Amino acid sequence: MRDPSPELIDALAAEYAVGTLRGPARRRFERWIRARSDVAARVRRWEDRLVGLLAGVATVRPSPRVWREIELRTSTRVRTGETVGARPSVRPMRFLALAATLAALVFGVSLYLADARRTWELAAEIAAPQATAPAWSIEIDRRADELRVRAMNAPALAADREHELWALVDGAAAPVSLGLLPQAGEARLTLGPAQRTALARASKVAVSLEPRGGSPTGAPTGPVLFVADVRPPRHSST
Amino acid sequence: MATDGESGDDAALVALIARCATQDGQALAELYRRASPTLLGCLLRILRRRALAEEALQDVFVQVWQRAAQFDEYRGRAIPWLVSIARYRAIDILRRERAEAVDPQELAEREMTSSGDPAELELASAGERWLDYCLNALSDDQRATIRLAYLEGRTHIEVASALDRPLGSVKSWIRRGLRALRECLDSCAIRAPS
Repeated sequence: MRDPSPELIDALAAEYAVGTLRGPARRRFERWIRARSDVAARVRRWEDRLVGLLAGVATVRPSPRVWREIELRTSTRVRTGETVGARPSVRPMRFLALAATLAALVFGVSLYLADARRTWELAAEIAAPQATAPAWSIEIDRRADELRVRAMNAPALAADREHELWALVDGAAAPVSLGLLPQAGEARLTLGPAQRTALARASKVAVSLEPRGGSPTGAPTGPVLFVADVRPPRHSST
Repeated sequence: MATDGESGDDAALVALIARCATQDGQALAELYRRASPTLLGCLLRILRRRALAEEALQDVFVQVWQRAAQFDEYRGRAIPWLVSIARYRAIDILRRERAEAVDPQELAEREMTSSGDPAELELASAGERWLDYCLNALSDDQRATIRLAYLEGRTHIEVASALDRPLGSVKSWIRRGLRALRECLDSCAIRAPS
């Protein structure tokens, strides 16, 4: 497809920011924003230009229950009593609580067991709320010793950061790292025995933002960006 | 609450977002305290129903919490970032709910709920101070259609029916109005003393 002229891109960016670009065109344009930093920059310029239109809009104080819900959904309340010290910077219980509440928010998480004849079965799709396409698809080998991860719409990432995939084992104290996610294309993540066991017992996976090379502590240190449901592969007898 | 001059608000919000990226829940609480009245006002204009707008406000702050780490790659200014998350969320909800016709009673209710006291954020940086000037340079039709679309999240068709004007004219007013707005703002930014 030929690239539209800068003038047309800017006109689309303007209509996107104003909100009049709707329907499938809006979703297509959102994919473009994620894929192209120049398009994203044009949209940002328009958001900057237009924000002053709000100047006359009355401010409204939200009812108290709104913040209580936000606290619950982000698990920010459990922070207050926490101790900071020699322990790794992640609080496993908080991570799990956060993961559990986030799980409720993740729209578009779809999972299904693939056709039994396939070697690879789709185990989970990791998608942001509102996303029109999943960020990554996670497929699992039936022997469950390898994951195939495809970056479909991975979010932008600073050069010194990486996305790390974790298995959230029900009832366990800490998530188990499954490896680093690709920004583009496909990656194979080989699972060791501990990871295999963890994944078999996990009902969810999560993605956190980590320093390059992955979490230095072996537990998530950055914010949890995504949580998705996962199911173990179907038994080969079926 | 300190509203210290030009971009004082925005700089303070940027710092709070940076702390949110390190999972600082108190920063989120402070960000909420400062920004939620403006964002709720914006959401109410689009969604019209308080319950729906407050639900959207929750979504906005959960997203802010999740996406705070991406903020510094995204842009320097906090308010447009926050406002955009809120407006796009509201537009998505409209998409889901299928926009309803304006109910005069709800409008009246909205005016009532809008009479709150919270201080407004300093929305525009120095560069955007020209927005009023440039909006005034547009034709009445261009200005009215852009404002309706932006502030109330209306589609071309909804703007056309609200103003009882032909759809084609509405589309062209918005498109040409935006282009004129950009040209005006860009030339003002160049002339503006720094």
